[in-house]
Amino acid sequence: MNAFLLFTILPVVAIVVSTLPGVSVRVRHASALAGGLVAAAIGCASALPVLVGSVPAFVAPLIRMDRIAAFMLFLVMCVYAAAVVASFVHLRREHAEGHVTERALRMYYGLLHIFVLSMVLAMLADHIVLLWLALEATTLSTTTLVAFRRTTGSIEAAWKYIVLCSTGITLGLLGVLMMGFAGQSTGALHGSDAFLLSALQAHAAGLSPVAVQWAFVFLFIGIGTKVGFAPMHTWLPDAHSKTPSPISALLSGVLLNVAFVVLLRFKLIADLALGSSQWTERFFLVFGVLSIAVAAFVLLTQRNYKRMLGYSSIEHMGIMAFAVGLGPFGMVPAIMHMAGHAYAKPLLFLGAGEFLHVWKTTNIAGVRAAITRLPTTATLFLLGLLGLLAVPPSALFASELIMVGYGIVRHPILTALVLILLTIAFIAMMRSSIGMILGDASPRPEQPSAERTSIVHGVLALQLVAVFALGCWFLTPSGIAFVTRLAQDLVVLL
Amino acid sequence: MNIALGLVVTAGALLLTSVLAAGALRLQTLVRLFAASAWFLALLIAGIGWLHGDEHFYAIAVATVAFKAIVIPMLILHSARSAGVSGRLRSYLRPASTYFLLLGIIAFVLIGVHRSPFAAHTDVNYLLALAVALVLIGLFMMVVRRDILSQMLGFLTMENGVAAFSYATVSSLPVLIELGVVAAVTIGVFLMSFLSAHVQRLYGTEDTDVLRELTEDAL
Repeated sequence: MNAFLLFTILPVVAIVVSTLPGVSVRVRHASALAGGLVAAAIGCASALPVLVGSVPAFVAPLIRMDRIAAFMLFLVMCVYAAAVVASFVHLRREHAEGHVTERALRMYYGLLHIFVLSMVLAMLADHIVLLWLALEATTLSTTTLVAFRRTTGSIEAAWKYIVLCSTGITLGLLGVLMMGFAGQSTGALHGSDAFLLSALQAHAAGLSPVAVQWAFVFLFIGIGTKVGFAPMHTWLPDAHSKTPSPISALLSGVLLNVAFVVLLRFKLIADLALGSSQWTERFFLVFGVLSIAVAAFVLLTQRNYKRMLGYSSIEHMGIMAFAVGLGPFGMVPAIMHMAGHAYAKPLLFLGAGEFLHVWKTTNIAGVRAAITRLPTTATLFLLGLLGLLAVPPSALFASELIMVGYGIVRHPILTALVLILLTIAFIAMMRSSIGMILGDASPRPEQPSAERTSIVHGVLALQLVAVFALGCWFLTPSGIAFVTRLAQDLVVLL
Repeated sequence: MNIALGLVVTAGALLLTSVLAAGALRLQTLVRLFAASAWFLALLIAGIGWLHGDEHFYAIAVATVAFKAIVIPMLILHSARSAGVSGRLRSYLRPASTYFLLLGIIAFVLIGVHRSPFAAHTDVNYLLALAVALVLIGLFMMVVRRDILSQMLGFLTMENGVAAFSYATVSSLPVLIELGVVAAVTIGVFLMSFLSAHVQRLYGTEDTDVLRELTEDAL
């Protein structure tokens, strides 16, 4: 518990020091970096014992730390560490070049830590209104970061982001209240207790099935908007492409996963109340296939590499939803996919940030022969992309292999359709990225490389190692057993 | 008995002001109607508190008046004035068509709520119908209105519906969490005003049709 306290206090100290007036720019950068890194290390250290099972899961007032919460906390902390390092390099450079004012710097660092704390609270909250508040706080803290550049594009993206996500999350609040009302109607839960996830789960059998179905529909639409399921996805490519790259890495790499796991928590209560998971699985199946299809076809004609990564996130959320929709065992590949995507996508967004800095454009056609000008970044980007596209032995290959094997048994036609759509997405992303990285730069030959190895390359390399090492481990009996234990926190009938 | 009747009349007034706001095409009128609906919502909350003998509802009623009837309308009018926006708002529908469609939606809600599982567990069914109707009116405004300020007020109308549902069905939440919800809505509206001021400054209009730079065709 003390570690938790320290882990919460450190980002708060970092927020205060990095935003206080009168502090030198160097101290702002240093405090944001040090506060973030130490907090991430403590967060990982707090999550690991529960994750590996050496400390049992526990429920404290309003807070709940089970294996899946520990797993998500670990992922959030890893991407948080990567994002603070990248922000440090990125903002120091932009400030030195005069693109970022000191005021913007203060706002950026302050909101970055608030955003991460909100995600942590969303993962650990046991009270569903508190959980809702934490999810809403992630939107509120990142809106200004989406509008960071103050250009017409970034303001438009921020407006769509706050309007669509706030509308979605308001519908989600209605679902949360309906779920609490269903809890109170059992007669066994009184007052605020009816809003505790642990209590609702324990008394799920007594909840009115129809009331729970109503609540789940609102929750699915509301939180599904935050996950980026098609057709509620329209804000996602705009927001993820206009935000500074370290924030895009957090938004795409972990925030989508956090919202997805929140939805799975409510799915578990609905499944327990209905006595079967079939009703909720249909939602995941339909929205999963739809999201993959929309993303695959838009990727074919995509001309902006940051938007390409945004649509790829919609595709991957669709893959996870499809896996969950297949049946209880689908939770295993979904969790594997979550981990793989959480490492691969930030790698690509941070790499894309380096491309943007050098070429000053997000147009795919505007970036050519990156391998000549930025050899280290381009190589890491290409390998990361292969990992994201499920080339063996990536973690996403392991998850998709298991998902397809299970899918052929459960829903063969839909699985064949998903395989075709994934192939389309693969071709589209490879075609665009190969052009950027290896494409012919004539008639304007690229300058020879002047790239200096930086700490960001170290972060990208670590993420790359994680994507492939996890893939190798996930296909071993111990890897599958470990993920199955995690999945047991979210499914009834394993 | 009188309090119960008063609550029904207040709920009716809240619904009426929200429907009228959805069709209003002048900024001043829209904001005034929204402020009036916030007063009726506060009255409703206070009345429910009186019926339940729960005093913390009064604090929520006061907070509702402070934020939704005073601060938010002032913020919106100030933001519009400082950006030099004309008072004329834009909608894809004429007011008559808006009211006609909303009447259909309300009729649909009345039937739907009567058959819902929540109706059997609460003694104030009209509050449930009011809550769902307000959420749909808010969503309707966000879809058919073409200007940023109306969309903001549409979002707040939805939030009024969620608040009404909360007080109609849920007996109690920790005060800190309730204040958190109020704070989240207020910060959300503040951020929307901040962004709408930027849109008005960058494009010289509050029409959302100008926000088309990020469509796939434009890129």
